[in-house]
Amino acid sequence: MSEDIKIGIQTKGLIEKKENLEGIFGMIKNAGFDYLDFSLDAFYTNPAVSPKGSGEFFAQSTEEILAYFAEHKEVLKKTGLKCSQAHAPYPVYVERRKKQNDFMKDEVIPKCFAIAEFLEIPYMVIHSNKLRYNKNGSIEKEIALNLEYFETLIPIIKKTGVKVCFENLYETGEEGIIEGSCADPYEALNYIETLNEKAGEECFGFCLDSGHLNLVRRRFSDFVPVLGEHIKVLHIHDNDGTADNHQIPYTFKGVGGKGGGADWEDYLSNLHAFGFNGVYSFETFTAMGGSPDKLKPAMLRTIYETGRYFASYSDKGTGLL
Amino acid sequence: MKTGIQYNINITKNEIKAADLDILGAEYGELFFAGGAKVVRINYTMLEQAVLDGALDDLSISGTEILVAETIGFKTKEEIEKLTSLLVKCLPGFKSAGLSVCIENGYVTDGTKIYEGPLGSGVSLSAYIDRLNEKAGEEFFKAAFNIGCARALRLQIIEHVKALGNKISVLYVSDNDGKADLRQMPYTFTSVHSINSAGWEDLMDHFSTYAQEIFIIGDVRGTFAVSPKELKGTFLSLIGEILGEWKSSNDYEQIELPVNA
Repeated sequence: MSEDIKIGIQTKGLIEKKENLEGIFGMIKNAGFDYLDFSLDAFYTNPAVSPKGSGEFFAQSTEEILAYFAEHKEVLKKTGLKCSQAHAPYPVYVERRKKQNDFMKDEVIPKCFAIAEFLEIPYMVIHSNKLRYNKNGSIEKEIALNLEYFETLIPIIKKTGVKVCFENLYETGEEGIIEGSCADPYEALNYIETLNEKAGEECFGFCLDSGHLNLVRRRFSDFVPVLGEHIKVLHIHDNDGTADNHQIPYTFKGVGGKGGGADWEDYLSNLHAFGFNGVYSFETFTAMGGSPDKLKPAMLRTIYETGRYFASYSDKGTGLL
Repeated sequence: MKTGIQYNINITKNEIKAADLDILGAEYGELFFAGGAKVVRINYTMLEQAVLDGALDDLSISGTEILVAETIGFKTKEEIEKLTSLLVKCLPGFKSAGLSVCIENGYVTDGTKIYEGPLGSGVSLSAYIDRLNEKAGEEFFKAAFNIGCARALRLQIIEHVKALGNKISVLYVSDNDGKADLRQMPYTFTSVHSINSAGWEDLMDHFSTYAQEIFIIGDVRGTFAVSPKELKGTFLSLIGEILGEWKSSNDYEQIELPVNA
């Protein structure tokens, strides 16, 4: 395989517990992948988004947590897989939940940095805080809150070498999906440029989430050129335009273009236009979670081949017949 | 159980062979390209023309075993009666050509939305086939159940499959968003909460014990229409593996009678 083709997949949907790590990592490697997006969010589903939320894992000491991941590190080395990125639990801030917010800021996020450093993960996605649709909230208040919070991360970013990526988000309103934090590329650019200037070096970048962009009906051609080389990591997945399905690209539109899938030509032509050379990383956990165990290797191979096509995309001689 | 793929101009015969599928299905209008298709879907107008042209024997000679009468768009009693008359009239021709005939569930559409027509449900299709067979005087006509059509109508698919009992000879497999007949890959409309859109596990369980010979055909024209040519072989392999899994879970062909039975 060409050195510059880098394809990854998230661990969520594949590695939920510390069971058969070697078998699962081996299955991922056998499908062709070289990189993982380590889903640390799977270790703490916040009560704000799930009634099953439990903070037990992150209540352990950093030493205990790193000891837990020692086997992951060993199996990563053994299989030759590397982690290109991680995803921190979310949300970090929920209005009027001080105890939970303190736990996220003081325990969960710092321990995520420690895990990322331990597993040699260069980028970690942390969702920016949402305040714009709250009763007493506004976009201005949300931006101020985010700049204040993310600035506090600069020392730990410098200490661990784990850079933080903002991600384009959506929210669920009364009439369906609406734009969330960083859904506007100029808003994201403002965070990244302001915080990097404060840091005096590049500590912050961007994670382009294809599925979220499709949900809020924004075009890649309006988004990617604005952020350009600030785009450090990708969350590649598709959906029907109404729900965050986290599925395989090209599996939503039908004959005649009906259906709500993403415009992948627009995505690829814009990513390649600025020369994205990072990892083509898939966030397709429902494709894994929703298919029978025996079909998981076939699903993984399909995702990997899609990644190969994405990474080697050229707008000359490709496209639909 | 035999697996197959519905022919599509965007995929090659070599790719089909590589996907380890048993047979090729095709639309009647594409037979020129899809020679050797064992299961051929035909709409009313084309069936009428094929009978006039004396083409039923040609179908048989080129390898077709099952003719599937498509019913998308059927909405009036008169339309159904015309189909009934044609099918019953052609019965001797079907028999002499060695063709089995299945009736497929369909829907009605105004171009923007999909509605349940008189042959949209498993219950109504089953009753129609009973009526046809009564007129034929024998159990000749069978069902082709299209999971995608039923899914587009948001039916509880497994209930309709059960309503058809052992009448099903052909199963067309595809998935969609419950709004349009997208002919997309199974499992890919599963939600973030892992709710199977079409109830794939229940369907697999049901057909794992289905004691009839059945052709199970990937009817994923939508995938091939919207994916780049570089990935068509990959998606074909995936549908091959998905249907292969259905086939391997079906124990009908593995039943061995005791030596002294």
